[in-house]
Amino acid sequence: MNDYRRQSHAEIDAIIARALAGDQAGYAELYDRYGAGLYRLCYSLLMNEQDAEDILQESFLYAFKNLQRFDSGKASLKTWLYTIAVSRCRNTYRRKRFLTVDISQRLGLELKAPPAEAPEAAIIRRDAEESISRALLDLSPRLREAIVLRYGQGMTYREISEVMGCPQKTAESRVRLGHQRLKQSLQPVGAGLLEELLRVH
Amino acid sequence: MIRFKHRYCKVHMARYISGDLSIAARRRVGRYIDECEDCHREYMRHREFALKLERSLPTLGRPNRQRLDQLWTSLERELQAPARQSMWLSDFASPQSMQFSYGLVMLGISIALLLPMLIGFHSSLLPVDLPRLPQSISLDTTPQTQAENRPLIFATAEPNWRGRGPILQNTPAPDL
Repeated sequence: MNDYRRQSHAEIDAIIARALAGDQAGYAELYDRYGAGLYRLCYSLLMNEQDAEDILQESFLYAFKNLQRFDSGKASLKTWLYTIAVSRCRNTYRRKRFLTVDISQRLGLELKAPPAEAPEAAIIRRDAEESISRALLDLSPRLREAIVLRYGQGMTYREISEVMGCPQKTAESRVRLGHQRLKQSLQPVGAGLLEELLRVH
Repeated sequence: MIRFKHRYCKVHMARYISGDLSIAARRRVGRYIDECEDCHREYMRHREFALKLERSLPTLGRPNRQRLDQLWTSLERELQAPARQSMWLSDFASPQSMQFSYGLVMLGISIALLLPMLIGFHSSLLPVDLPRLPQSISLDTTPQTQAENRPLIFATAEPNWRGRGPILQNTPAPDL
């Protein structure tokens, strides 16, 4: 595991070096590796496609322009990118105060159902996604961040603490609290919704 | 003791499930989960929910590959664009900056006008010498008693030889 991680770090360092040397393909490779994950993080925190896309672009732009300042000895590139994105998401919460949710999405005008998905399955999936989104939005921003980083991104508590800029113990208790709250808010509809979401995906 | 164990178990449950506990702590929590029926039930519920979250949350907001590629194209364009020059005079001529600059100028003028008033400079605005107000004269002619007329004298002695400072004469001499 450690060897794999070391190898992966060395690989990323090599890509960074290439990008810094002016190779555009290096940037493209970094975007390919982290773009989708970063978008999911932003979307899960903001629940708005437009905002998630804006923050994804802003974060990458900032990161790529300041790539020479990245120190691989201090943190991994993933944690660094996620820290940038989370801080931008925080600015968006502050600016907007009340998070907006895409109406078109809620009304199902832009339902991105896989081609083979039956209409019923699409409705179930949308309901499940909506319930989870609502439950996540009911959490405080810090708890939401902790839950999304832990369960949505599969980060360790140490990585979560680095991204959120808090002690590891705080990250742990935030995950625990968020877990409890999420369980409470999803309880009326049951964990069956999560099951449905898993089944259709 | 049981309550403490119960609480310990509850606090560490999430980390136990995610495998982030130290070996000793893991063993302790595991032993207690086996012993306590409530904790075992709680553990099963917690694990089930955590697993579902772990599998379902990554599906939320899964990006469209095509859209990601479009975003990359615009990002690439921005990266290749020449770096923006620093703010200079021409930037202040833009409509947004004009409003800001105008506001700054107005603020400066207001401060320049109000500052003398605020720091008491207004006294110098009246250079005319005003006549002095008449002094109040006491018309009280009632004779004062002798005691009241007696001047108050506070006598002090020379500093004593030890240099401790003056000693009032009417205070008892210190015991030497």
